[in-house]
Amino acid sequence: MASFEQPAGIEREWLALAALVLTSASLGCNIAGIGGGARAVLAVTFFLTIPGLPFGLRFVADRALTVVIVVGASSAITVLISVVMVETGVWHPLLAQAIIAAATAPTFLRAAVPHHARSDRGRQ
Amino acid sequence: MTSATATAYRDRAEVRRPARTNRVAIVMTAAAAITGGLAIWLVDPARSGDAGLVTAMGPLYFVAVGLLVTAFVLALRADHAPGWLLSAQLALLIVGIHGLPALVDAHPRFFSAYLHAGFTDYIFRHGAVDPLLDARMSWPGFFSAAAMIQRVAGLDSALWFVRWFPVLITAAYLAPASLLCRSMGASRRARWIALWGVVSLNWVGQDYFSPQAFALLLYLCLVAVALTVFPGVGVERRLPAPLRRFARDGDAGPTSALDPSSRVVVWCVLVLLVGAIAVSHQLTPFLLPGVLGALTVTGRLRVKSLAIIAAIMAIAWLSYGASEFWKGHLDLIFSGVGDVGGNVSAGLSKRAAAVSFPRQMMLDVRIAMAATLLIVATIGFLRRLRRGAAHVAMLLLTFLPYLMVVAQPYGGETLLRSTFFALVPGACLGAFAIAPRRTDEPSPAAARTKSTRRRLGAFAYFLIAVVAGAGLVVACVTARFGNERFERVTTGEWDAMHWVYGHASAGDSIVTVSRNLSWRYEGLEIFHYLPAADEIYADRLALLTHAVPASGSGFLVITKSQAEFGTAIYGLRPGWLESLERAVNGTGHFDLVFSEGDAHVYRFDMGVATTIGGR
Repeated sequence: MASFEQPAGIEREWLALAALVLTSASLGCNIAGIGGGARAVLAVTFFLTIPGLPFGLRFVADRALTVVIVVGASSAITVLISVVMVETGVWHPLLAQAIIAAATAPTFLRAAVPHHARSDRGRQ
Repeated sequence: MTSATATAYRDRAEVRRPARTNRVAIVMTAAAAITGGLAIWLVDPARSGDAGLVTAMGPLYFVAVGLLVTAFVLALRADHAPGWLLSAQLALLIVGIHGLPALVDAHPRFFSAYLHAGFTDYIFRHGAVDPLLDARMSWPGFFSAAAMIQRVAGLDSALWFVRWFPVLITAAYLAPASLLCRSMGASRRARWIALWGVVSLNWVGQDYFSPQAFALLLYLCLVAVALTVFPGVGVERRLPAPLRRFARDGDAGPTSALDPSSRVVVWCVLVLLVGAIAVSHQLTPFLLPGVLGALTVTGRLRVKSLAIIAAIMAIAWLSYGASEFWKGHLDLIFSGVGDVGGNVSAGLSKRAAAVSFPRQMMLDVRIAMAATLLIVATIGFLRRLRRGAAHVAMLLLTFLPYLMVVAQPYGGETLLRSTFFALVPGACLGAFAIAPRRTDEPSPAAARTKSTRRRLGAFAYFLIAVVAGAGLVVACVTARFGNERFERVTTGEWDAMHWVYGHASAGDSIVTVSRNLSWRYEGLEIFHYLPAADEIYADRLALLTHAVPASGSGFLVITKSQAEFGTAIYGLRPGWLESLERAVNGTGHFDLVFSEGDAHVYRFDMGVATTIGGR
């Protein structure tokens, strides 16, 4: 029980920020056509973390559960998207990455900007 | 000195002792890293003997193993060792065992990994699958995901993934393993022992770039999350009195206090995992409903729907996505059902075709490692049962995969696959054999007394732990890389295959004497590969009768690893391949077109092959 009661706000924000940076870097490498090991590491990290991170952010207070949910959900989503592309004959990995990025970015943006900061901005 | 001052000194010494132990552990870990790095830098894998890579490792490697294990045991004994230190030790262990080939070999190893890179390459180029190429293409999840990542990563070949895949996937297994330990309420010490066990008992070698390695990760994530968020509650009330002991909160560790909407999210993630498993591997989707059903029936899992969904998805994909496979292979699927003896002997006899004493020793180590996992898991279960907790879920997860033996020989690999799937739960349960206390159980007061007898006992316990831990690591390296002589890819073989792919035309045949070659990683559908399955062409007649006449023009590739493979796995006499090569050369119809180190490539043509050898 104890691990579910830890404060999670700061970790959520940092995780969301890291996710946005990773997404931007990976997409940037693809758009700029940069090759090499860095692009490969970014791509592997992207597909093993980003698709499932919106699920994981809900449980961020419990680190062990979060890690397993993020890795499990990301791997599963990556597999299912790739199989759907193969079965339907619409093979566009770069487009798939862009769609994942677009679908997850709003969640990361909401999590990266703390609730009280949004409220303060609204009042100003 | 007053008694109060003496007490104060003692208390300060008590506080200082863990810190000092930690400092010693840190220094030993650093020393292990440096010594291990030096040992790996000095090793020459070409010197591997019949017992495998372990015979090529110099004494420095074993010193490094001893230092690392001692540091780990010291850190665990301190009880306050920082997490980063234990994590660093675990990382060193993973790299030191599963990263060995990546560090010492010039090229990625193991022919099956090359073939899987070939499946990935096919999807990468076509964006589609061809189930007629191979049965494994009917479950394309792993290959298509790898192809997608390859495209986004801007890589020209999936072979980039092969070298470090075992290290990455083994590290990934530790996350669900840690969660499984927590779901059982394992203490911090038990949890680290379990993680150490997962790494050092993983001798099976199924964690190469393969769908089964990936499917195991998905499977572990699924059961770990399911048992943490939806554990069975109040099971004991539904059981008759004699059985209640087996139901007492054994698997109920710290449970999740999730709100209903979060539980729905977790359920959706579980369904996604079930779907991904269904399309990624042939065996796991059919193991999954059985495991989930058993967990549900025994009251260890609250979500009954999951087992049913898993069964439906497995059958649905078999009927839709894999229909091309089962249309022609129904007899293959069902012929082994119920033939336990045949399936076990298919696994044992094929794996145990020893030809030399060192190799027989290595095979014995493998059997001992498999038995150790099950024995330690059983002891762990019984020790916890004595303390009133029955970890039935872990017991089911450890032993149920062996029911696959009832269903399928799977090319003689079912026993290996079962052991692979039993690894993580078995190691988690086995940790209780060493540290049976739960997180919430206080340490016994007697343990804190400082009598000489107790100190001697603790020292003996420490020594036993170090010797057993180091022995386990060495046994794992022995068992895991016992086939190094034919599984490693030499530079000659690597260059030969690149030369062949650079010079072969579409429709050409690429022929060799057995499947043990680093080939088929590109152009799967472009070239005609022989042999396509498990057969071996051990003499000139077999090669010329079965492979070459059916091949048209093409290339014959012969490497030293083929000779080692034939001798070790098929029991052929040493020198059989040299004789075959001489005989083939003697026909005058094969032109040597490439030669480097231990690899030779011959060009042949079907037009002249019909008269070869005066047949």
